Amino acid sequence: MSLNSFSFFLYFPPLVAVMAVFGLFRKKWKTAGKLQLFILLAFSYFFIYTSDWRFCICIFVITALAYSTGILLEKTHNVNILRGGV
Amino acid sequence: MYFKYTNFFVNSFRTIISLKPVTLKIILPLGISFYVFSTLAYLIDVYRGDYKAEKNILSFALYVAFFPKLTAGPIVRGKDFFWQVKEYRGIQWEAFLTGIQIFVFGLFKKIVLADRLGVFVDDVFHAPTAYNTGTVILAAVSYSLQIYFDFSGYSDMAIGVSKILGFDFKPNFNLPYVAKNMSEFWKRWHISLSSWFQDYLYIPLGGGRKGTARTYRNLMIVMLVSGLWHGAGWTFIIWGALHGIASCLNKVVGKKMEALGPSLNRIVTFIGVTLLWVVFRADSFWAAVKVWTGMFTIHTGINQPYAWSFFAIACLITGTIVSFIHSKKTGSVDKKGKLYVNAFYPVLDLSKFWSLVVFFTFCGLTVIMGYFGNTAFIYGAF
Amino acid sequence: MKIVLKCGKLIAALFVSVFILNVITLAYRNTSLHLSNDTGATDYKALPNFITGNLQEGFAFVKMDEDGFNNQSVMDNIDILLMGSSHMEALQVSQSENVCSLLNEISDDKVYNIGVSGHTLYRCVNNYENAVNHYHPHKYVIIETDRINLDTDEMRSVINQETVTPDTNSGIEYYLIKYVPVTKLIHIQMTEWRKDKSSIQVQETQSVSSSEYIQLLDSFLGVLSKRIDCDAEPIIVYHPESVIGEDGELEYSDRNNLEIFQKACERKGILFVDMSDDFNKLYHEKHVLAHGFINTAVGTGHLNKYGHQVIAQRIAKVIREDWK
Repeated sequence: MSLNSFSFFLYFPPLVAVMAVFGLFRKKWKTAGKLQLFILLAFSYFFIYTSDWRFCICIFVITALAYSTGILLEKTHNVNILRGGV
Repeated sequence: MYFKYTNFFVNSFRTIISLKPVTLKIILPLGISFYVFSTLAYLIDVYRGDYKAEKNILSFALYVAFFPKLTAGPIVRGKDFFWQVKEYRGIQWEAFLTGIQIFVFGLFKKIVLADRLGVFVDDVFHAPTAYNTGTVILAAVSYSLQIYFDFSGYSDMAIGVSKILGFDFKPNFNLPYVAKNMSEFWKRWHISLSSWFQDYLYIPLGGGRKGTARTYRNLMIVMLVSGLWHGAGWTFIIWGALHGIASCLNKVVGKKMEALGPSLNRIVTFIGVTLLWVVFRADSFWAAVKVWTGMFTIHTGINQPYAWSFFAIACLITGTIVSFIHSKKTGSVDKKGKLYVNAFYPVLDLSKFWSLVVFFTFCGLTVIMGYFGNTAFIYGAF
Repeated sequence: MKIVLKCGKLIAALFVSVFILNVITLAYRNTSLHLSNDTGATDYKALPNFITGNLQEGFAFVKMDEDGFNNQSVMDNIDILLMGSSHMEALQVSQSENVCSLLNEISDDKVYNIGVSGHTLYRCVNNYENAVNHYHPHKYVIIETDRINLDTDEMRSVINQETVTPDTNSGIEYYLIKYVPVTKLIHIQMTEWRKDKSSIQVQETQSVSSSEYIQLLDSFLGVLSKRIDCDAEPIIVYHPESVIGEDGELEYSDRNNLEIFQKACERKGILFVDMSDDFNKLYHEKHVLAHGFINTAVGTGHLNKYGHQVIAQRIAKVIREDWK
């Protein structure tokens, strides 16, 4: 699937509709906003899956690595500040 | 690195030691160059202490995998994305109307202009010796337009879709072919990538502050890496190197060239960029030499004054003139106080009847004039 | 009330834009409805006196004759009948530049064209008898084809008279295409868009033996064999599509079984004209290909005016030599 493919034009309107419906509940339902983001993430993985399911694994691994590395880097940075280092 | 460059390095090594090239069955994950650069930018920013690491796994996962920017960018920075997630308001009507117009604008550039041009460019680049001089020159110019409309069209589609979904991304192109020199060209072309290289490679290497020799060295390194980023092949490396040389030349003769006036500078820059796109497009360096030879020698052959090329040129000129007028009206100037032409999205007020008519007609024209042959995004392969 | 007004505005804007797009379609790509042809000479015909517009492939505006075919006018006492597909229908070139008009100019014979799009060699052979019975050409029936590597199932259908005549436009579709021509164009574009481009189309290899294929081909072409009650001789004109190789030389696809086809035509008394040499000469002398236009890929698609010219000249030469 790509942004100019026919299948995208089939899947995207329902996504927008679902997002819009959840948007109506944002004020009443606090988790509606988070659910919207989760739906976007799920659709993004679906978008990748339509090219090749293995790409989902690749992007998941990179996400996990970068996420944990970022937190580790920040911890190290904080430790260095506390120690008075760079 | 493994997915993208293993075949290239293995075969280059085999060629050096006189062995036949082999094709290793390694698939290239979709958009890997783009999301790897996004995550690298994030990690470097965290390391530098520019902002804090994102603790929300959902936000971070969305940052990496967000589908509109996945295939071919723009390369979004963490600082431009995470705050939007925190303040996410969902789909807003005004943003939806703007986003859909930007999307259709990008779709028109891609399926009407870029894909139609691709048909002609593929024919000529496949067998340049069969065509006459004029046709080869037109094909080279057409490729410059094709890659611009393809990539900027896709970027517009990504920005449009993101806008519909409630996210704002910066434009990735700013009329690159009105650039007066190579330095300005790279500030207008694939802005998210060139700013990435500037912030995370050029400036850390010293930029232009460590003397002339180091400046040239840094420029060459950045352009070579840029070439390699675009693809695992010698043509991309040569393209990067040639752009590096051009950027260095710009440093040397740039000020003297200004005396020629902005119009002539734009023409010279466009010609230079077009000549370099030839090696980017060609299957090999010698294929590029054939095209260059075809452009600079007078010879007979098939005459193909491709109609869509002239249509695309007319569209580009019209868009540029409109942008000029718009930039003058808004008083857009550069550091020297001279007019700086900025691109803009021609978004209409869809609450008005005639704006709706124009929009629907434009959508219809995009569908009826679109080319639906076998085409992929050029930058999707990177 | 506000919503009603907004919806009304939206619908009105849609109508106006459809009107504008219709006007553009009339010039850009406007082809006729398909009406059923009671004579059976072709699967269908166009609306009488319909004016087609084509700026998508070539640049041409063509007015059909009173019978719905691409001729200056309807004829009787025809000497030569032209049958074929969209190449012979020739909506991509102006009327004066197509094979039929050129042959009418070059030769003293009366030439009439009943080419319609989709009328492949299988359909032409299937409808041959009806065409000959209706038009009674005195001299020749010329059938154009760009394929001679034939499908065995299709040939069997024709031999066993099991083919199904394609549907013509009727009902809502008829009125929609007639009064809102942009709908047809959008339908064509959407069909192309939906196709799965990732799967590579491989030409099916014949699953029958060579001798079986030859037998089938003989039976298939036998339908065209000269009849006692008809003066006209069949001629098959083969105009292969070409591509330009990396070395700049012309390469032809669909060359498999060319010799088999030629020999089968000889056995059945059908004149076979292979245009490859003429196309090669055209390319080497004038740097021009017989297919393709300045708004399409080089060498592919329909016959352009040079292709029509070369075919007309060759047919005239073949007829002159044969008639002697």
